[in-house]
Order: sequence, then C-alpha cells, then structure tokens
Amino acid sequence: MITGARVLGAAGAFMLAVDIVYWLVTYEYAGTFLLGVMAVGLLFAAGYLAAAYRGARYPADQPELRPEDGAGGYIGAFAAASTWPIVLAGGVLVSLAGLVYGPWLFVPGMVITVAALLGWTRESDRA
Amino acid sequence: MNAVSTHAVPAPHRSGLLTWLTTTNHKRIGVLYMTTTLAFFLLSGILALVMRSQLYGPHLSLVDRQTYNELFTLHGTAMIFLFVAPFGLGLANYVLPLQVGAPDMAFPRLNALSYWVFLGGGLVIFSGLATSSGAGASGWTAYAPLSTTGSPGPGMDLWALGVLMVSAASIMTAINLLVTTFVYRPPGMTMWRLPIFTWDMVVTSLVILMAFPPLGTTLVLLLIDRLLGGHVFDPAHGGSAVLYQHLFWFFGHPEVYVMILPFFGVVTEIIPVFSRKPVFGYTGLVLATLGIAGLSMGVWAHHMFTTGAVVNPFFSAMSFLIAVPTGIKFFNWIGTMWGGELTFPTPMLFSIGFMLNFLLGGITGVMLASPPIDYHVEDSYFLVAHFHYVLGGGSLFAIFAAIYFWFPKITGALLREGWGRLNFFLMFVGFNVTFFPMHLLGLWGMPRRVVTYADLPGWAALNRLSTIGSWIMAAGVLVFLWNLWTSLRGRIPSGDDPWGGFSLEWATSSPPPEHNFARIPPIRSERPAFDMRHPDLRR
Repeated sequence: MITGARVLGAAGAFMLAVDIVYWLVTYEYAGTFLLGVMAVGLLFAAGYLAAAYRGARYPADQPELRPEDGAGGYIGAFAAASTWPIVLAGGVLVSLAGLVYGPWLFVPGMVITVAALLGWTRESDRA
Repeated sequence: MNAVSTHAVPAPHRSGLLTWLTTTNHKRIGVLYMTTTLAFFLLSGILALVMRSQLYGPHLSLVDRQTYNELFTLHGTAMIFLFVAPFGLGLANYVLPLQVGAPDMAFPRLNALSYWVFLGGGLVIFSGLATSSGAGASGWTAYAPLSTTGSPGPGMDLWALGVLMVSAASIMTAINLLVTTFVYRPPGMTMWRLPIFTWDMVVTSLVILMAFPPLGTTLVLLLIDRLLGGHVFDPAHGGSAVLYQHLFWFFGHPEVYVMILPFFGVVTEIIPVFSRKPVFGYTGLVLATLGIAGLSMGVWAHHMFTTGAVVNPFFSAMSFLIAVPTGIKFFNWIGTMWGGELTFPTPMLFSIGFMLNFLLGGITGVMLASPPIDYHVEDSYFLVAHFHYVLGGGSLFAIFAAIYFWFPKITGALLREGWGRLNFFLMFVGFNVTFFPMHLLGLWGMPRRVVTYADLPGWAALNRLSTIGSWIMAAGVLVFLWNLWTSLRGRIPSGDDPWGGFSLEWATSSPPPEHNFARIPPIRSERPAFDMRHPDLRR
C-alpha cells in the first residue's frame, strides 16, 4: 500500500512541477488549471493512502509472507450474479436518449434508473 | 481459494443467456468485453474497407461526401473508443485479478455496470446511422464548430452521449482495477512483484482517472451548446473554439497512452516467456511506464501547433522527452530477447510485429513533435500513417498477440498455429502495404478526410497500393475468424499452461475456477508460476 502512496505522490509532485513550469512559460489559464487539478487530485489520493495505512503492515507488502499466512482472514464479498447492473445501464441509456428525443423517453428512463439504484442498494445491503 | 476466505454471495439459479446477462464474475465480463470490442473492430474495419475502396482511384463516387464523413467519424470513434482502449480494459478484467492473486474484481456489480454502459454507449454511437440526418460526421475529435453548428440533427447528439457513456464506463473500470490491485493482493505479492502487464494497467487506470473527466466535461459542454442553446465554444458569442481543443486534447493525448500502455504490458509478458528469460530491467520498465504516463499529461497541445494559440516550444520539448522512456522499453525488450532461447509461436510473431510497426510509428511521432515538420504535414496522410502505425501496427498487433497468448487460459484450448502464422503474415504485409504509402502521400500533400482527390502524379498509384493492402489485411482478419471457429469446434486441449508462463494466472487451471485459485503458490519473485515449477532455479 505504501508503494501505491509513493507512486501517486511522485506522480502528483511531477504534475505540480510541470504545472508551475507550464504557467511560467505560457501564462495560459486552461492548461494551468487542468494540470493543477490533476496534481492536487493525485496528491490527495497519495495523502489519503499514506494516512489511512500509516504504521500498518499490510500483508501484501511484506515480501517474506506466504499466501497461506492470510488464511482465515475475511477479504470481501463477491456477488456471484446481479440483475441490477444491466437494468441500471438500460435506464441510463434510455434517459440519455430522452435528452435528444424528449420526455417520453427521459421520464421512463429515469424511472428505470431510480428503480435499479434502489434494487442495487437493497441487494448490496443483503450481501 | 484456501489462503484467505471469501464471502461468495450465492447465485440465484440461472442458466444460458441469463447467466451472461446477470454475471458479475470478472472472467465472464472480460470475455464479454473482448468479444464486444472485436465485434466493433469488425464493424469499424468494414467501414475502413469502404473508405479505401472509395479511394482506389481519383474521382470515384462509391459514396458521397456526407456518407464519407460519417464513415471516417464512425471508424475513428469505434476503433478508439469501442475497440483498442476497451479491449485493454476487457483483457485486464480477465487477466489482472488472476495475476495479482485476487478472487475477483473489487466491485463485481460495478464491473458488470461498466460493461453494460460501455455496450450501451457503443450502440448509441452507431444508432446515429438510423437517424434522418445520419451519424455524427465531424471526425472522432468532434472539433467545434464542426460538431456544433456544423452538425445539425440528432446523429451528433447521439455521438456525444454515446462517447460520454463509454467514458463513464472506462472510469468505473479504472477504479475497479486500481482497488483490486492495491487491496486484493495476497500476502507476499508486493507491488514490486506484480507482472508488468498489471503495472501497466495500474498506470493506465491512473491516466484514465486523470484524462477522462475532462472528456466528460467537454462532452457535457458540447451538449449544452447543441441542446440548450449554449455558446461555450462559439466565438461569435464570447465562447472559444480553441478551448474545445484544449479540453479535448487534454483527454485525447493521454488517451493514446490508454490505448498503448496495456499493450506494452502484453508484449512484456509474452517476450520473456518465449525467450525463456526473466524480463530484462523490471524496475526500469515500471519507471519508464510511469514516465510515459506522466509526460503524456503535459503534451496535449502538440495537436494544436498550427492553431498559433499555444506555446509550441514547451509542448515540442515535452513531446520529444516521451521518446526517452519509450526507448527504454525497446531496450528492455531487446535485452530480454538477447541471449534467450527464442521460439516464435504466433503470440511472439505478433509481438515482434508490434515492435517493428510501433518503432516506425514512434519515429514519425518524434518527427511530428517538431513544429516545422508538423506545419508541413498537418492534416495530411502523413498523420494518418503515423497514428495507424502506433495504434494499428502497434496496439492491434499486440491485441492479436494477447488473444493467441491467453486464448488457452480462457478456453482450455489452443488456437491453430498454422492458421495463426498465416493470420500474422497476411496482416503484417497487408498493414505495411496499406499504411506505408500514406507517408509519401502526406509528404506530397494529400490531405486526409477527403472523399476523393485530384489525379496528381503518384497519388493514384499509391492510393491503389494502399487499398490493395487493406484487402490483404482483411484477408488476415478472415483467417483469424476461421482460426477461432475451427479451434473452438475441434478443440485441441491446451493443458493448464501450454507456454510455460511466468505470472500467477498460469498457476491455476485453464479455464480457472469460479474464484480463480484452489491454492496460490508462494510468491517470491515476479515469476511465481515459473518458481512453482522450478523451485531449484528460484532466485
């Protein structure tokens, strides 16, 4: 995990340096803003990882451990199947098409989207 | 998987088509992604053949101007948004959890949503063909004002909405890949033991997270201009068309690396296996990938040299710099092969084809990074040759290498080697006959995106050659389809590891079980499967 934080931090620092050089060379707003947002985003993610895992010895980062050393640990729930992703994607598709063709598509699209989100949430609560 | 317990949510009883429609398993979603992208590739290839047939000679009228504009717009859009980039994501969907030793992707439902939104986006883009005004016709870059006042009718709206959906799907997949890699590695699988393909997908995912939100923003602004009467990109009302180019290329150039980095990873997996050597310069390869990704975010305006609205020296220097980490990769690939026990099955042939073609695309890329040359060949066929050598000769060849390499893992059967070699040679010859002449056409002044051309000296002969090359390439693709068909009908069992692979996916059965591993071997290097088979040679 600490490697991930370092990668993100290094990338963020690099983009910050590029941003400063870019501004000094060009005095151009659009690119400076975009590069700046990117640098801040990367540094935020690096900072979050570093803070969240400070002092923790994450098993995957310990080269001497073997996979069976994690036996018995709970690593997550993996849904084997779900109807809601395809329903949600269909709802989004119909809603967006409704932006072009009118409310007769947009409204049912939104109904499907909201229903799918509710179904997804209920299913996630169970697993 | 006995090393760690997983909480597998019981599946409702489903069978047949419904199983595929409701699956959240990363391997099935990977297969769905890859087959869908290949379908879009075939569709897009047919569009290209129609365009090449139109250009077989001067003054032909197989298609009219509007249709031709729709053809090259859909061809570029489909190849970029619906084939090359998402194929990498689909391949990663299948391979990455296996390579890191995870039971599935971190967010299986989100993974399924990514695929269905991607498919929906692709269908929305192509649905423009069914509208009265036709499909979007402003090129895959959709520059304003071509995409605003220049493209009335719903076809362009559907194009923007479809690309927006594909972009959202890519972001969701990138998040999934990153979290899977960071969080779901088993004990001992440190980041510095990850296979290079996984590293490249981590970096690709980071690039997606940085570059695709600006694309989404751009498309929303474009739709505001088109549907709500906005003037964001309209200079006549205080907007800026150049702003569109800034925003688009801030996504667009990193997107090139979203389309190539996964395939750098693919050939880096394949070359060591068929050289019977560990990869040369593992750390250098990872750092080179990070370097390419970082630099790729700062070169967007080299696509805008001729606008006169950007500081050319800055973007030129940054673009030249990218050649350095890319060159390091070539050095590493050659270093890996050097002194190895080389064999040349089809995946290796396609990997070497990738290297040769991409090298030429890279060299012309360095040429185009120089503003004086760029001014000379801007919007000419030289540019078409350049990016097809990068994405066609590069990424496409690596995609075929990946298919031949991982097909046994996915299906438990081998593709026929004889048909594979014929597939490679037809595509290699066809590709170069198609695209090499375009360098000359561009240097001689032939503009791209034209439905026909004047009968100027040399133009007709080179265009004819190029069109013949496209037919040879199409024959290669047909051979590939035939190979798929015959290999799936008359299966030759591959065993679990037909190549003597190095990374963790080769340490499980082919195809792998539901949650990937019955047992994960100890991970002591970036080659755990090799270490497992050869404990005496473990470093």
